[in-house]
Amino acid sequence: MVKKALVTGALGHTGSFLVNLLVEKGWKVVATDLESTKRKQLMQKETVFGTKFQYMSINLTGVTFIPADLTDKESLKPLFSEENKDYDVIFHPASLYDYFATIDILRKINVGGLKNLLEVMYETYGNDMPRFLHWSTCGVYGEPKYKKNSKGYILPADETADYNPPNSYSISKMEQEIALKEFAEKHPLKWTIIRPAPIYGPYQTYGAFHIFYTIRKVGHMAIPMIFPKKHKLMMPMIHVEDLVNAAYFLWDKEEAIHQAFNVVSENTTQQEWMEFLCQELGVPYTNIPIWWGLYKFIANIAFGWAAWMEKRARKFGVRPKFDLPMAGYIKHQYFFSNDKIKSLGFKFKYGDPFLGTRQTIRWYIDHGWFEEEPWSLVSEEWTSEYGSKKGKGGK
Amino acid sequence: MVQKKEKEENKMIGFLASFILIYILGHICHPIIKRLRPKHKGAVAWYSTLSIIIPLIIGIIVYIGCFNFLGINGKDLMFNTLFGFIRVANISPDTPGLDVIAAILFISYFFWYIAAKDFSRMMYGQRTYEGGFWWILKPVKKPKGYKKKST
Repeated sequence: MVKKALVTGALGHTGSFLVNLLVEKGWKVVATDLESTKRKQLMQKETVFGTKFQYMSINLTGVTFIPADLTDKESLKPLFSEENKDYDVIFHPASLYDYFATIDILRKINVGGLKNLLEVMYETYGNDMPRFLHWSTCGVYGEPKYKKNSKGYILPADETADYNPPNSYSISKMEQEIALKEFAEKHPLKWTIIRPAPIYGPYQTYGAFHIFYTIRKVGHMAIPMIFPKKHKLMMPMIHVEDLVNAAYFLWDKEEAIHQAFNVVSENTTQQEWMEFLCQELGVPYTNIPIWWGLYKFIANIAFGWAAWMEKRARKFGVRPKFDLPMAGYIKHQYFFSNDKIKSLGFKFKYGDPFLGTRQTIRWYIDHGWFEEEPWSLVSEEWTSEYGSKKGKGGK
Repeated sequence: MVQKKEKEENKMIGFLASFILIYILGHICHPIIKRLRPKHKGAVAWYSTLSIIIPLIIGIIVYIGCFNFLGINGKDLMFNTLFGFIRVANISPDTPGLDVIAAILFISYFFWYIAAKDFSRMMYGQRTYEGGFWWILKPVKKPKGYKKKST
């Protein structure tokens, strides 16, 4: 019997990889996302570095694409028509992942959209709803209170850590989780929450790609070597292939029902990862030994500068080079455990983040994303509909 | 008479001023290289050479007192003044071993230049598409045609 899934946000980075994986596994897939014009207007982050870059195609045999808008409940109903509704599982990676977006828009799309989807599901299936895999983020923990070992080194936070979201996007994801759990208290829904660390991988145009881009654009990096070593900052990450593999792994696991899972590869430090990136990108770097107290002081100044730039960008209705939460990585400690999903037997393809990073950078190089020409597409006037309608790219 | 002597000193440069000058010349060298290369390699080489040689020759001439600078001691000028505006030190020209220190400082002109050039490379990038740290740090520009919203 051929399995069937609904994948929301199917034209996005994770969604497109998930659809391709399911097709590879012989599934029938109903894929949904915003229709192209609306999506283009909303997903301006995807054009920050030029419109040349596109996500993976989902135009495959076995895939039916039905455009829908999560904020418009009526548009979701065709996804659950008589001919389509026999889903074994619903994967819900769709959300607005944009650190520059305001909390109102994030709430409308991410939280309101999830509620609409759940309501339409309930109206369609009643108490017999299919499995539901929801995408959240490790960002819901923010910077948790870490336990320490006898030598003073912190231990990774597991899924029991409290919510402490540090930015608008993470707040919206936390509210999504709360809404999902509240819905499941009233209705029999078998949910599983996936909390990925920052995602990287081929085709990505936002997030980690910003770091790759920046290192190549700067051309010579200064990498801080923080001492004492116990204060070194960690770099949690997950390769997009591992993320969709984890979702596929969890969808039929009874142990995963009503559970949340961190999906993060083995941890490395920011220093080691940056050095590796520089080596892979052929960019010279200089290690600068620095005491933790002084590092924090400088990082706070740098963060303050980034905050000022963002404020200025919003005032002018343009996008800054870096969204503020990305700059937050230089001063916050993010360290998450993947023991729970591994205890179920999941094996990471890119458990070693260096392997995944190398594969990703090689992919960008092989596909011409790092050629000199595309960088010239970068405009100083990156626009966002959230700030202003001025400039190109706005509505 | 004393006042006149101090006024004359103010026209001279010292080691500290030379270092600042060479650092600035080194710092602007890299953006020049970035823009001129590869067609004008010769011009860049001349710029670098002259950036070091001219302050070096002037400094040595002043130091050894080849010309009579109105009776002013060249060693005093080189060690104790910053562009003449500020008297930064008060080292006696008769201090033993001063010539050796001066020779080391003259040689260090070259290294100051290299350090400045390398720092400049980090700040502005090496290849034409690179922007260096300045690319990260430079403030967001006001878009063309931007008008402040009326409240």
